Amino acid sequence: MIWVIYFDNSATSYPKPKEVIEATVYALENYGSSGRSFYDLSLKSSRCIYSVREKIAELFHYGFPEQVAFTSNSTEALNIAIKGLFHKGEHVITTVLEHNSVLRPLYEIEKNGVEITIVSADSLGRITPEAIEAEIKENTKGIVCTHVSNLTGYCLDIEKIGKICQENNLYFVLDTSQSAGVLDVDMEKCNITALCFTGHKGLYGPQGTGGIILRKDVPIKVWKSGGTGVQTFSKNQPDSMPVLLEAGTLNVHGIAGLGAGIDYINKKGKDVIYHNADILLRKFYDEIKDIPEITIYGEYSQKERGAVIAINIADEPSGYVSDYLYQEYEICTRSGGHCAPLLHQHFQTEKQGMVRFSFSHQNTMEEIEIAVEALKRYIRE
Amino acid sequence: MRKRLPYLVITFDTTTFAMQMEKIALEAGKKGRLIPLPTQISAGCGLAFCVNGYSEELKGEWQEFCQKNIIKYREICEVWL
Repeated sequence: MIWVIYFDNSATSYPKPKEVIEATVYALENYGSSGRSFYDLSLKSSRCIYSVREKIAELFHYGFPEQVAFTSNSTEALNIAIKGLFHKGEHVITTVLEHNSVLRPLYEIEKNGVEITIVSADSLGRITPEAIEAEIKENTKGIVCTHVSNLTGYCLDIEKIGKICQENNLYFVLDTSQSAGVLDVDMEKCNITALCFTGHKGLYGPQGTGGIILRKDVPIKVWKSGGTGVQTFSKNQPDSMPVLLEAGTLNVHGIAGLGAGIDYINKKGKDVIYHNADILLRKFYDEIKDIPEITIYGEYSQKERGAVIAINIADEPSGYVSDYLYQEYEICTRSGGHCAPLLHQHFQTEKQGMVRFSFSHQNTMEEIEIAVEALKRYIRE
Repeated sequence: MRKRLPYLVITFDTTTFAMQMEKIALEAGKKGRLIPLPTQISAGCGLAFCVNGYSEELKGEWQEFCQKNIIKYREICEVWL
């Protein structure tokens, strides 16, 4: 393990738990190709993948593990959902909080005749479910949004949005990239049609893992076709989940690590993971909020939110600040644009970017104090 | 605020080219490091290759180095970091 002060958990969690590393290595040493044969190496692989489907379904409170399809990340899952669920002439609502993994697929389907409405936020980056509901029209087919902003940590009320979807018979596509493993996401309670997750952030799995949970009986366009280990002589991709969305050999080594990541979360307790990071976030916020040179984006009174804080120091380019923090203190942050172009436009930080600190339960109070001192020293010098 | 100094900064269209630059430059014993893409060059994100100091002569050296090693860069410029 490399020693650094790691505040870039919104990009990927680090360090990975040793259980995740061990499970990945074990899979590399002991697993064959899943779903392709009957001998032990292959069956072990299939069993592992099935057990992780069950863990994912349980984590998101959905009773049908076969509806969990693995992808390489949430971007892929979001592409599958957005391009597979909406058609020409239909209307889709999204928000300014979105990552390019939502926006770019939406812009793509917009070119093909899908109408898009982007709901704006208030000056603190907040969006109410009512503001989203107000945009529903006769041809509205769905709402696509993030659970938690990757820039401000602001948390959308997905239970209310899900209720709105239910009342209006709309699809609800949810991006849980910043919340899975940290906040509770209930597929049933929130009436989610397609829940997209990544494995390498709050779920502590390896990069290259993720997936989509597609509600039963929701028709979706096949996004890729190929080998599945079943129905070899059919010219068509099998129409049952998960193989409908899973052509080709799965990344069992990554998925094994992802399963161990979920075990780690369950053992540690999602609440403990959330609260430990939240305490650090609040401490950091309290320490810097009154420094006049520092601008903090978003609002921090929300009780349940992501452990993310994006700042700038006066008009200093965010890259300078981030580079300084790493060169002088080995503090890892992210600077520049954060693949959330509309929120940068909203806060008028397209040029300056933002310095993002994203915490995890693995960080310490001492690390927070070092970061605060580093920012103060940057301003002093 | 922290004092700034002049640097020679090489930018690229993709991170892949930035990684290629770092590998080839360091293998050739040249000094430099990757930094966040300075926002006065371009908004958004990405990596740039940064060398201490700046002069037209130094710029010429790096242009020649990139050409010789077929490194596809976007721009070589002076930035105060």
